[in-house]
Amino acid sequence: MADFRIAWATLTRDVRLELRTRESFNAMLFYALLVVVIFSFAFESEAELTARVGGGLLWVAFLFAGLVALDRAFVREMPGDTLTGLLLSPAPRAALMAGKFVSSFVLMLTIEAVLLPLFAVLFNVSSEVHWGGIVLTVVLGTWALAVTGTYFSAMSIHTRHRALLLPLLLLPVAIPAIISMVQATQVFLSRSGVANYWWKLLFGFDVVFTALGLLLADVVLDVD
Amino acid sequence: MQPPTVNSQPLLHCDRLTRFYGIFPALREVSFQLPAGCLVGLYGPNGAGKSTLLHLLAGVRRPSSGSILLGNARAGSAEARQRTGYLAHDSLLHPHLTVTENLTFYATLYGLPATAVGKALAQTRGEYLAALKVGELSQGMRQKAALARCLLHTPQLLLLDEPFASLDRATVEELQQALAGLRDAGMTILASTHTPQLLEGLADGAMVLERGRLRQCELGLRSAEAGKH
Repeated sequence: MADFRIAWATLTRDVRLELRTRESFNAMLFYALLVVVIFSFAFESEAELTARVGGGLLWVAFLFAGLVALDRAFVREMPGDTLTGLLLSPAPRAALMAGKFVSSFVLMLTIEAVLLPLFAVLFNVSSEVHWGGIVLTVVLGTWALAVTGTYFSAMSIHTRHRALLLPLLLLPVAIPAIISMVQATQVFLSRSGVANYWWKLLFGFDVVFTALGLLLADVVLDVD
Repeated sequence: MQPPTVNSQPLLHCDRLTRFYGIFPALREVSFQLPAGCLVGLYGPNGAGKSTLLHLLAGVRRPSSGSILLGNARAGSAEARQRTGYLAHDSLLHPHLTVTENLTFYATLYGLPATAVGKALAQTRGEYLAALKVGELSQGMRQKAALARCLLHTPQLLLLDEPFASLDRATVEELQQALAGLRDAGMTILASTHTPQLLEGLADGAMVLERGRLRQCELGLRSAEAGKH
């Protein structure tokens, strides 16, 4: 219960900071809109074409926007050196990390909730697609990116080329999740059945990397 | 109130502390003990190892060799963190949050109720800071808020890194009074400063570091002074 309170306090503090500064939100929205709008100029907005490439396109936008949020997850702790303040406390590192996972997840989902309807309009997505399946894929995929990205964000916080290092560390590890989220989205956009196999893979990835992230929180948050 | 005696049971026990940064030895074979309820000044020129020693004691960094015990707890353990307060160069408070928001968050991390925030602010006479954003505070106000953060969990050991830096005369005096009160209440305080005069008449002991070595460690200064008069 104490761990839950610590994770909740970390989450609410991060959300409050984001609402007050909008540092991540504005940059994320800008990147995501840029990708979706530029691709909408490049492709004819035909339902058939969207069914073939829409999944990849959507996740490129989500991934670019997500990288901004993930980079900020621990950069947010640099003014006033609040990261040291967190680590001076006796709070379990796993609880702090869990709060950070969820705050990255919430921020990414917020942007995705804005972007998904816009994508549907700009790319003429048929109203008959399985939206429930797409939303579940987005939730599972975003959690995969939030967990791995936040973990690597903590790892790279004290490095000189942090912004470059984060995608270099994250993308190779997240490849199984990225393939699954793109394929699952594609299945639903093309209305070619259900994506049970890709969902299972995504769910497995989420469980394994959440557990690893929490178990190794002590190691990754060790500033020494 | 009687000044503490040097014969009290040691609260802090450091044994042959050594810390390297790469190949540079920032601290070498530093050993000392501090009893409960004393205020000790930590002096030395820039680069002497004062901040490194405080980092090791706070558990922010680990020694390359040697050991630190706070009571029976090893420095850096959750138990030692619960009993240690550390005033760093930075306030460790987020500039976009108010003092109360910052302290309430820290109270949760230390497993304390929100009422601890008001108590800590009252101890530093900083109640008027509660609703102000940390980014809008002056240096002296920020130092008060940072000290309140350190006192939230009523630590047994209070580590202060240059607590008087950039403060005006009035704020220095206020801080000196607060430190005397905390020491008299039984807290062990180790304060580093470039200006030993600021701790004159207040400190029970002095430790002098030079090039990472402990050149002098003297306790019972106040009791000796009291004996002279």
